[in-house]
Amino acid sequence: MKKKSMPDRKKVVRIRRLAYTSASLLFIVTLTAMCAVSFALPLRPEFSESEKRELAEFPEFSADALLNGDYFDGINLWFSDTFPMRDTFVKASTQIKTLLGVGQSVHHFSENDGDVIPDIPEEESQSIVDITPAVPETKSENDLLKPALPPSTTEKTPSKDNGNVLEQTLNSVYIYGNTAYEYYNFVRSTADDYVKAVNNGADEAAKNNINFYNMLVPTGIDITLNEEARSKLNSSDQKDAINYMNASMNENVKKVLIFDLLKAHSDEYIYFRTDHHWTALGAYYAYAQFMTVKGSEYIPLSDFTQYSFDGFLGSFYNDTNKNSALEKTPDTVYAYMPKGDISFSMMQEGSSDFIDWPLICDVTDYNPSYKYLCFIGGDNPVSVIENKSIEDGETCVFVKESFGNAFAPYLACNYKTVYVVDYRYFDGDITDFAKEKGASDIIVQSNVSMTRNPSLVKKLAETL
Amino acid sequence: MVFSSLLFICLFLPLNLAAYYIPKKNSIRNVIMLIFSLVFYAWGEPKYVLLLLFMTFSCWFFAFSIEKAKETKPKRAKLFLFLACFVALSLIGIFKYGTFIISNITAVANIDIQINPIPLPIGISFYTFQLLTYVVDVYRGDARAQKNYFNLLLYASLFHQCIAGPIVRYSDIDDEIMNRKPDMADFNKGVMRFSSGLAKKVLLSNQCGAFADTLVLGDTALGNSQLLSENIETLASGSALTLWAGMLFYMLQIYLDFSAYSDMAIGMGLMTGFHYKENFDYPYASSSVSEFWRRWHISLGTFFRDYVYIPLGGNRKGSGRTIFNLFIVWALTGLWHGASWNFVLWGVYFFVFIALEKLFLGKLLAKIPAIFGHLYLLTVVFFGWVLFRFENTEVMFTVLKGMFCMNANPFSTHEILVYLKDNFIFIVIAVLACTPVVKTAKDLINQYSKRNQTVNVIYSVYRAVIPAVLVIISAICLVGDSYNPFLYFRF
Repeated sequence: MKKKSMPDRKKVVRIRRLAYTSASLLFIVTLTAMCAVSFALPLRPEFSESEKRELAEFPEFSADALLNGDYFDGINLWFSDTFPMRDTFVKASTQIKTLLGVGQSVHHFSENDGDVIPDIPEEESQSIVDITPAVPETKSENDLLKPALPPSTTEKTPSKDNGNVLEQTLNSVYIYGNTAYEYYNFVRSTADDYVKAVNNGADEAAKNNINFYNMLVPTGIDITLNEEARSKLNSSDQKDAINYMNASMNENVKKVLIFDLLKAHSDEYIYFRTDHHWTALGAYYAYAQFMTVKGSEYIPLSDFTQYSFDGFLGSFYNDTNKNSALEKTPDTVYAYMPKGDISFSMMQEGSSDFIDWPLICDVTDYNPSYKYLCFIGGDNPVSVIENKSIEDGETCVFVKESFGNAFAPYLACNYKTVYVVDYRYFDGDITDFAKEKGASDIIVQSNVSMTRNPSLVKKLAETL
Repeated sequence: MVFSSLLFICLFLPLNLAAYYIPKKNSIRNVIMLIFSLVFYAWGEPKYVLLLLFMTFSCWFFAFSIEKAKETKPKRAKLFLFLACFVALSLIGIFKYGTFIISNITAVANIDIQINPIPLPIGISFYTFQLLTYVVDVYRGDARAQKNYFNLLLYASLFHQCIAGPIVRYSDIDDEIMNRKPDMADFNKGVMRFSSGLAKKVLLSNQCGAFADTLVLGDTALGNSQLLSENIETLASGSALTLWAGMLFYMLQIYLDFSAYSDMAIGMGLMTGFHYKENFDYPYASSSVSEFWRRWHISLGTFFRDYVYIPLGGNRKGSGRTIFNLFIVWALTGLWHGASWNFVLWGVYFFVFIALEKLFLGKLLAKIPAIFGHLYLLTVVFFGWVLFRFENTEVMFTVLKGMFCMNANPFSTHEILVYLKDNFIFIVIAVLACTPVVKTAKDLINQYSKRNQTVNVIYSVYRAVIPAVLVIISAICLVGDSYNPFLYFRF
């Protein structure tokens, strides 16, 4: 009996030897295949859709570069950066890491404290608008224009190396369930600089009889993250930070306070889960509050036409190496088109011509990470919304960063002409610009995250 | 170039293997290996390839002269030995320690001059030591002088081990340079060894490195002297648990990284008929510091033993002299790792424990349960890595103090707890990879499969596909992965 259960020793050895040889053969086949793929030059991508950047180019040859090693380094970088099917592999590598037990909930780990937020003598109060908007019926997106990507999208690579104003990498990101949140650490000196910039802008505007509004937008971490999880995080209190900045602004600044309003609607879909922006619904509340402060009527949401684009995986998703929890539950971008005869045109960076573009464009076929581009054609130095249905209406200049994209379309309901200025790409003085355009209002909108970024605040100060 | 780069595994290695196996003659294969090795070296250091050529030439010439003079004129042979060592040590002295020596002299003499730091030639610490073993072995009669300069150059520049070890002795591969017969069994072993080394590096070590950099700062931040106060502030505010965890990741990284490199070198050697000695033997599983150093970077330890400690008299000249000899060896071992005082401190730190073990601690450890020996060793090594990691003493003390909450820092934070919980499985895997657990399990299955045909078939299938799977997975992770340094390139 025993003999039967013992396999033939020779057979064992034969099978094992076969396995070893197959292993070597498979190894050689794999190397050969990878070598062949490396030479498949036409398959090499030039642009990464998910990272939104141009990939490395093959280095230019020079004797200097050869001798100091730059040439070979350049080839190394080009070789791996433009590897065929790069984005697919990058995504697969995250899945491999997940299998290896590498966690996905904390990125850019940070325990840094923000500065202490100074107490303010008396908190300013502003009654918040009381609205429960009736969401309009969803329209099919067929009646929207379907242009390809705005030509400038490919140029929007935030360059990190030259220290210019476009540095916008996200800070520490915390993932709670299927929602990502960006930490916020209050930086007093930068916040003070921001206030100074706004005060200067308001003083200039006042001299020219132009109303100057400022709106500070909180980010999701202090609005939609539940209290218990939030209390454990070492992220500065945005309400205190916003109150501090508002309290330091002079009387020429008309402040639009939206923190409490957004907080009151925190169980609604007002921030994206996979992206750092607010949704158009969040922006709508801010619009309603702004109109109340301005003393005008805001248009009920039911008067707009709603469009929706699903499958949005935004900046948080890309910045967390394609977190799988976020990937499983992509966002939907809702957009609200004002009614009326509205035209939109934009001047892109590096160009002086305006091109016509849909105010809300159909992004159904866009890459999942581009869906926020449905609003006003993305970030451009100057764009213009004109509402021809309004006769003798006012003109305003709306100074914004990317949060403003979701907000700008609403302004078309109350102004005949809205000049949208992205100060990050705009060269010039905003008061002069407003004077030239005959604007009655300047509206400056910033999310709190930007008020701790010295290079952005510096650029804003140059513009205001 | 590094082994764990896409360019290497997708282009360099396949082309190298193909070119190597086309000709049958050993001498032609040597030419091919030499060309590939020089390209490999020049890829990282286009200019310094000349230094390598020159140092090899000097050692080739002097060794040749030593052999000629040895029988008839022993004094002249000794002179040639001295000259060979002088040239080699001077070159490493200038290129590796020049900046360090000058900055110390100016600091002591209180002169304020700005010196442009000389960039460290990659691999100089490794190939210099290899060439030294060659000259000394020829002098001792342990090896024959190599008549052909290019064969010696192949030994010194062979891309398998030229830039990050193991330190292969000439006498060990003398025969194989001239006459080697790669066979299928070795090739198979080499494939497995290389693939598992690559996976260890890419999947485990790089990840540990990324964690360590996140928690206790990376080379880029630490190496920037302008960020000094900022770095100290960051580390001082980190919770104690953060610093402990960060250093644990560093401890894992440095072993996984370095041993993976040796695995890949040994594996590629086997694929082409070279047999290099083992360089690591699960050092973290040791139970004393002396044992640790017999199992960590073995080729360096034996180099210092055979070419420094024993020539100094070893333990044959009384206990006082033994201690002194040990001190010299450990100070040099420390200094070999880098031109900075913290490395010397790190070496001397180990000297203290090794001396204590020689005096009484060793006997004590042998008596008490083994677990205490392991705990003692891990503690000593752990704090050793703190000395090793931070070249700036101020930063080092900030971390040491912070580990015991002496920076007014908290013991832990929500962030670090989430971080550790989140990566718990990975930590377990990485820790296990530092122990012989996997090897033992494989041996057991191997044994068992000899008695059970089903197990044998399953194991054989696993064994057939695993190298290719590991290479593919590693390649996927390398695409677009920006974090990929080899720590031992710095030495």
